[in-house]
Amino acid sequence: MKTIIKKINGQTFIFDFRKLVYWKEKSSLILSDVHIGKITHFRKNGISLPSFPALNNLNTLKSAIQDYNPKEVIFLGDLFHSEYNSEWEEWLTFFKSLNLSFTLVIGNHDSIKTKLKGVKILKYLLRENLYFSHYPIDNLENFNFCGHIHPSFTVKGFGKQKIKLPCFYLSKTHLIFPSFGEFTGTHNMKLKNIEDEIFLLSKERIFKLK
Amino acid sequence: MSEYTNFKTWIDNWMNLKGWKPQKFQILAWKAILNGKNGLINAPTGSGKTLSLIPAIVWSVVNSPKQNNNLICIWITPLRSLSQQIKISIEDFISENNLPLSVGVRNGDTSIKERNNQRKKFPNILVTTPESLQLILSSKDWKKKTSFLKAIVVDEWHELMGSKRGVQVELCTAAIRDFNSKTSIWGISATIGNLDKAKEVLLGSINEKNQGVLIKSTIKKRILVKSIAPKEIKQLPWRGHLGLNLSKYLTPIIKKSKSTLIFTNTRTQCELWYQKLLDEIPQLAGNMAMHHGSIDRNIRLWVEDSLRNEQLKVVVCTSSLDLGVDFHPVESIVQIGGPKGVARFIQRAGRSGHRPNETSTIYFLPTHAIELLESSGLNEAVKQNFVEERIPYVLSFDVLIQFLVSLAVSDGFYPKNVLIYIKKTHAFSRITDEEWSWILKNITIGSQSLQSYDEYKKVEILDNGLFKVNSRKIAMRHRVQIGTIVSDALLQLKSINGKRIGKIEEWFVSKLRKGEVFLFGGKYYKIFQIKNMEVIVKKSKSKKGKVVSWMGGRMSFSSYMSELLRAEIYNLNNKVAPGQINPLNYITKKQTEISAIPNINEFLIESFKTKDGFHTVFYPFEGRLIHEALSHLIAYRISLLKPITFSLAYNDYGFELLSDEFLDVQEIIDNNLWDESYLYEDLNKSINTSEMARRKFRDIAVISGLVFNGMPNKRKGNKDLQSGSQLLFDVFRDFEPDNLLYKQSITETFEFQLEEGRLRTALQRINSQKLIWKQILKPSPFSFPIITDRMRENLSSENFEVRIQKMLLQYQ
Repeated sequence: MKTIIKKINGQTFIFDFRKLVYWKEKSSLILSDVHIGKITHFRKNGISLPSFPALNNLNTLKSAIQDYNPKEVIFLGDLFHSEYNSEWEEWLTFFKSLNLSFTLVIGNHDSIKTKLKGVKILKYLLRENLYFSHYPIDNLENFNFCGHIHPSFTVKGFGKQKIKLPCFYLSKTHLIFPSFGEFTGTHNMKLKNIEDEIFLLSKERIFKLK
Repeated sequence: MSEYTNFKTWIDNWMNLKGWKPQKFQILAWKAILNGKNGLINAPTGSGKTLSLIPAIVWSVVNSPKQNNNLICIWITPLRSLSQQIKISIEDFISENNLPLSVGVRNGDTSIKERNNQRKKFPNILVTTPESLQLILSSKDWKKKTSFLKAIVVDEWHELMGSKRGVQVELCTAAIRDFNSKTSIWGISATIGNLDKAKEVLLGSINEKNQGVLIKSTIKKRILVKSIAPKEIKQLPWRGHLGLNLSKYLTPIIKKSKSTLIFTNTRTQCELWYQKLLDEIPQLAGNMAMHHGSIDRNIRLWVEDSLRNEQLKVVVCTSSLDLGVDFHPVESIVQIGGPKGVARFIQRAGRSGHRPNETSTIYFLPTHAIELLESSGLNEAVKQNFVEERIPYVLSFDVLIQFLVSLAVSDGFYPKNVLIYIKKTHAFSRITDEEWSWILKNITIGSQSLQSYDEYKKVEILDNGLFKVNSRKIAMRHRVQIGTIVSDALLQLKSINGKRIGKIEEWFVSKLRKGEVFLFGGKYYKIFQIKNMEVIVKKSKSKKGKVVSWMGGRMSFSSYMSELLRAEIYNLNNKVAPGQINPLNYITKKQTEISAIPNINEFLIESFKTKDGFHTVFYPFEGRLIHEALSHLIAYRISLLKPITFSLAYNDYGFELLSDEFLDVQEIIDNNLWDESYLYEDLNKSINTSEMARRKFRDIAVISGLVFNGMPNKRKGNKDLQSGSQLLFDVFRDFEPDNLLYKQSITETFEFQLEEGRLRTALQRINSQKLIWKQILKPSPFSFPIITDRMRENLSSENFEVRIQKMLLQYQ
């Protein structure tokens, strides 16, 4: 499978193996924790990481935009890793080049000092009774779309096998997004509630746990 | 009169006053030093090694007794705790001879006030660690400071040589000698199998004409090994490494000895034994202490002092008490569990009967049945007086990068000039031009080709060609990072009134909930608060809780230890005396019943099924490290034959390939599984995803500055610059596989860690043996400790997506 379709609050969402979700009714692409500029930030501080993974990231988003042709892209925070560096440029050019609306729900890493052309910046977003934020928020009236945690899950099998994969974590109250950024690390989750759903992501496919 | 006769008259005068007589090795060392030679002294602890060096080093001052601030001697020790003792022993000599000299200690424990004092008035003799030495080289006036230096002494060189700190010492001493050729280098080493090599590594080829001398003391030590073997069958479990149920056998030894030192293999085991002995012998309360690397330094120093002053009856410790410190009053030594190496065992035995010509007794307590075999092996080794070699690190590019940045932080360097002396060190004698240019590019442009819009910043090349760090931020971060000892993120453990208790690894804390009770340093604590890098605890009345544990690597058998063990195993069939019932006989009988005991011409493989899957267990008896590599190699070669996924486990006796389908050993064995050709290539391919390489990379990433652990005592720890080395490992593997530091993690795994050639020899031996394949119905005693090990690795040739699908189906 490349995608899994799921209804939340009566709305249709397509979960894509590329770590993003397409909201059909609104024609929106939703993703979280891109951490743009992380590699360059490290390099600027004397840590010699290779500088290719960043490119990969943008290409993945471009391919998804081509496939879904959305009207809007929503980032659930931590779009940027630190203050401005040269790595931003390519993304900023990209934001300006498309006739699309980009919305950023601000996260703990985003240190944006000036206005970004072509990107709408919000503290949170409420739409169709869905609450979009960076941090997961408990005890909300609305269903919460969020990121921040970088969830992953370890599947285990016969012969003591195990594989850790990034995942979407869907509970009755929250949908936690995997981190879209290549070089970001993950936090391993346990299945908290038997009704919760986990969608695991490999480089080529999306899998449903259970 | 010659220089030496003058010196001898002076020193003899003083020795006569003390009622001492110089030993032969001391005389040889004095002569060599006065002749300006370099060298290595092989002498056991407590034999007067300090006196073999210091008098001759300070001799020039004796004739011109004017006080000044010239540094004349740097004394390097691997352990901070040794510094104080060496300082005292040097100071005693100086004051008794009325010499106008000062001795200072400088290491990670030195207070800022003391450091500032040293800046104003530098001591004449500085006792320090390799890290602090490199720190001195990263300060602006290091050349001025070392221009009067007569000698650098490297204490416990055998210990440093087998680690990257040895490489650090090689580089730093080479830099100093390049600048000041009058400085001589002297090492002190305990007995190891390759003393000549140790000398060669320490001295390098800086001075081709002066190859240095090796001086051996003739003091011999007699060691007596007494094994504690339980009488009843059920007392020794088939697996496990704690041995707690045998504690009653220790009681008589503790009771009859004035003092007892109990060595355990891990800190967790140390904690548990302390508790167990306290339960068993309540009178020990107040007379017993614990010593391991995570306990606060002040408490450790107190334990060491109390041991010396005969105030403690029992100390339970780990390798933290292996080194140098002199405790001659200790009467009995106990080793719990296999010591993994003969040299280590002998060194521990030497903790008792410290006076020359006294016999040292060590008790060995096995913790599981097969360890009984080790005890007879150890006995044999001690009788033959054999000790292992220490293998020096070579081409440690991470250490080289750290060293070069240090130079760039201080006065800067010209690559051409430094390369000359770097090539003269043992570690980098074989560095190629390509590697050198890679390193220089790495620290200046952070990659191998200049990219547009790149903002990489570390070492800058000035117009005159000088390599220099100009950013204060980078310089500061580098100084904090200097050092080659790497451990998990450590949190300070403090009581609620602010007293320091010790250090605890972050991952253990993350498993604790607030209010949960745990055991540390023999006491129960409750977590009160975790903030910044500190864990604040309260004492707890509850006597139940988690035992604090540490990740730490597990030790492996040395090749010699494995050889001894194999001899014991192959001899087992002949050893069983009918009618006699003891745990060893019992296990031998069971192993023969269920499977078989191989003889010297046989190689045993067992196959059986449990609820976990299909187990195939191989028994080369070559030690954990070799098995780690062999399991990867064999799993990889099998995975080329068909799509299959393995979970690997290993211990000192053998290794297991666990799979979800049956493995026909006969079928696969016909495919040259143990072939020596393509060994390097196959290992490379199988290891590049392994835990082994990742573990190595973790150290490399920290040392070379790829991973930054944050500033100490800072509230905010530069979170935006922190990343896991695991993540970095993957980035390099996927995006820059020819990165020298990434490649180093792989070569280190099998070139250094596996002791060159050892793997090849093992394969040759296995090839010459006859294969015994036993398909059995239940696990054998030999297999039990392996298959129950939870530290495992994966290797797979199945399609990744197919594997996930398969596991998800099983998940239901």
